[in-house]
Amino acid sequence: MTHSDHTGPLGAHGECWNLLPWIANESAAAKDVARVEAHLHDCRECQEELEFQRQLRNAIRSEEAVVLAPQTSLQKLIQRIDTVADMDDDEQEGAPAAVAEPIAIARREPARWSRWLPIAAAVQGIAIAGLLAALWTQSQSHDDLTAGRYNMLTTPTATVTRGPVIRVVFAGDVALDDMNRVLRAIDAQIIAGPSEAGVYTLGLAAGAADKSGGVEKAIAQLRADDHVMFAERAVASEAP
Amino acid sequence: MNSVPSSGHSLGTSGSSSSNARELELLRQVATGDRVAFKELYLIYHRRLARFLMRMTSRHDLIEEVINDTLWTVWLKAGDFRGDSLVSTWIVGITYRRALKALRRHGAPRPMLIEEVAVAPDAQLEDENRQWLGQALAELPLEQRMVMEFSYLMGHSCEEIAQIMQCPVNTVKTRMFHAREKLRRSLPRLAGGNK
Repeated sequence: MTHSDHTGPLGAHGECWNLLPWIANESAAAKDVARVEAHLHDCRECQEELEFQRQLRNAIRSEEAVVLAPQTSLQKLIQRIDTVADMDDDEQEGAPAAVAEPIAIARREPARWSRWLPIAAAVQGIAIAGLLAALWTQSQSHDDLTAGRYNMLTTPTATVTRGPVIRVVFAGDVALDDMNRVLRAIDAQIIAGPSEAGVYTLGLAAGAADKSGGVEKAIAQLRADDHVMFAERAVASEAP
Repeated sequence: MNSVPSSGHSLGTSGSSSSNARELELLRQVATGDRVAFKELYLIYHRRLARFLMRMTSRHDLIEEVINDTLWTVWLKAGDFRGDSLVSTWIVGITYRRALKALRRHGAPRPMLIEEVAVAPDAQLEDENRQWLGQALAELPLEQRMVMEFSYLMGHSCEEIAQIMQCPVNTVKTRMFHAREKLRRSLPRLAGGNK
């Protein structure tokens, strides 16, 4: 073999030589097959290489891998889907129709196994409302001391709207840096979560939420991100 | 040899037009929340993805995690699929990226060694070749090995692999070139028949 550069031999021979693996696995386009066929007619080196690649392919494909039983894994995934579906049903019952934005994934099946979820969601809603009220009161009472002088880690950095909020499930392997980047990109803060199903509730900063279509844009941005598995609009509990 | 005859093996794993049409139909049903369609798609891809992932790691828990994360993404984003590629290219691409992340999180990848794979007891020579092949593949850099696996295990075209790995077609060819060179040096018996 004389193929010592980075991309193999040059010219028509080189082009054909580079295509041989995909001739061997029968995935090459018809025009490439025709070109290689014509070249193979006179090129013994490519004939031998094609035969070697076919042997290689047959050897790799002939290995019988240990087969994992799919049913157990499938059940786990269905359970995961059910959990999110149940939470979605709970939200939909209390949300105005206009807010129940249709999304690509349908989650229409009724709750089947978790009677406690509505109660948990209600308790969580009350807790969030209480927390928001406490934070608001606290920030009001400390404004005179902290405004314009210094910031502490606990100082609220943006006013989170009490309007629409977004529910998000991040990918299981998301790194903290990635999560922070996602949140900063839409000017959002986590106001609750994660729930048992891994659902976070996000609030948009007032400026971002007040913009026309701001929430929808934020949701679209979240859905486009590989680190986000699920994003949809929900309605925040009204804080006093 | 004056032509490019078929080797007698069907492509099987990558998307033929008929299997892609069926998978596209299933995906559209999944986008409407059809769980029967989702289960069918899951079972189609579980074996295919498991076989591929076993070439990246021997950890069954990790394989299951990556498969379920992949199909979870498929469930959530089925409605976003625009048909710009084959369904199999889209799903394998998700698997590849999730696998890389999982492997980075859990340490260096170790493919399932050939000794861990069931082989026919009466094929001693074939068994030896398999052992050499498994060792030679394991010694390739991950990206070169993946190009080889995507091509020969999964049956993908060069362009599909570029989509899966999110890199230019020429990068795929370059990785394949280096993998071929290294395997030829590592597999004297397999290559020897041609010399």
